[in-house]
Amino acid sequence: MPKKKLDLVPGTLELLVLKVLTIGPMHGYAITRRLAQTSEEVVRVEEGSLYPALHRMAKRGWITAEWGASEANRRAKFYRLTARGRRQLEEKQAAWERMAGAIARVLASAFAEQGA
Amino acid sequence: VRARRREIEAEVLEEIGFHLDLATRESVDAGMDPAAARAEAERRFGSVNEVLRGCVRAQMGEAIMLQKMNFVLVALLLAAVTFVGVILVQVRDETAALRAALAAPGLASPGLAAPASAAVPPPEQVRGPTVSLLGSVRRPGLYPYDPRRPLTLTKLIAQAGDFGQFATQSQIQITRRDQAGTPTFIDVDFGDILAGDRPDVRLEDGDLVYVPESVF
Repeated sequence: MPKKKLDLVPGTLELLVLKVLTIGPMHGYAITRRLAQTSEEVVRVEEGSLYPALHRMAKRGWITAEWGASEANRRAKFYRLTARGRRQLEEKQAAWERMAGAIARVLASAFAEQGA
Repeated sequence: VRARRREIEAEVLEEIGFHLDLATRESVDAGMDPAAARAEAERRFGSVNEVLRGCVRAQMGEAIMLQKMNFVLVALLLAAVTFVGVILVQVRDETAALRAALAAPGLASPGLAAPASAAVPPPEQVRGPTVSLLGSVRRPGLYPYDPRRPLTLTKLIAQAGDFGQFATQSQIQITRRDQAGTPTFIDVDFGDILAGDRPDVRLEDGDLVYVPESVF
């Protein structure tokens, strides 16, 4: 039975893209596929929304963009992680782990249920 | 700014085309009909226009904001220049009208006493009983008084062409002398006559009617 797809938690797209680009330079479609495959097709991203995020990150200097040739020898824009982007990734990942851990701890705690 | 925007849009459109082509080919390779594969790729991609806008905003947000501010400032400047122009034209027209009024014969000062008119005979031509009208009316002067045709204050003001611009209509003073020359003073608020709160004042031979003036 296929897993139910989930919308991405707001604000996490940039974190995931930065993480994917640690593998190496990629074009937009490859980033989309890698996100889907790594999340085992659970994370659902409207693919078009990736591009404004990529342009924002390039503007901030977290990634660079340059035209190159794809596997099929077609012109494509490749995005590459910069040192600044790597630092952003570390900060964002640490913040996410703190938040996820805190949420997990609250959910795992044994509160007595309030009966009506 | 416009050229840069077009350049960004062209690049993003090329990226989107590449993305959709790869997504379509992947589905076709998986056995999907090409048309259906393309439709599915476009559905998954979402709105191309929104993506274009988002990319342009990401790249040129500051430049677009500056351009908008520039546009607003130019519009404000044009509005200010237009406003000043309109005011200057009005001032010029009013000045011309004022000059023309001052140049009119018999006008001592604008808005106060009015030009001499043929409706008021010169004092030396007035014979017999008269009523004097002075102060802030359009045509002050000596007005003939005919005992057979009662003259009221309202009729006198009407003959004088109405009050002057700064007339104090609430403080009209009428001076009347008896046979011995003893004066009686009558204060009239013209508004009371207009409102019907008091009867019109019937004037008599020799009455002096004075309409004071105030700019307040």
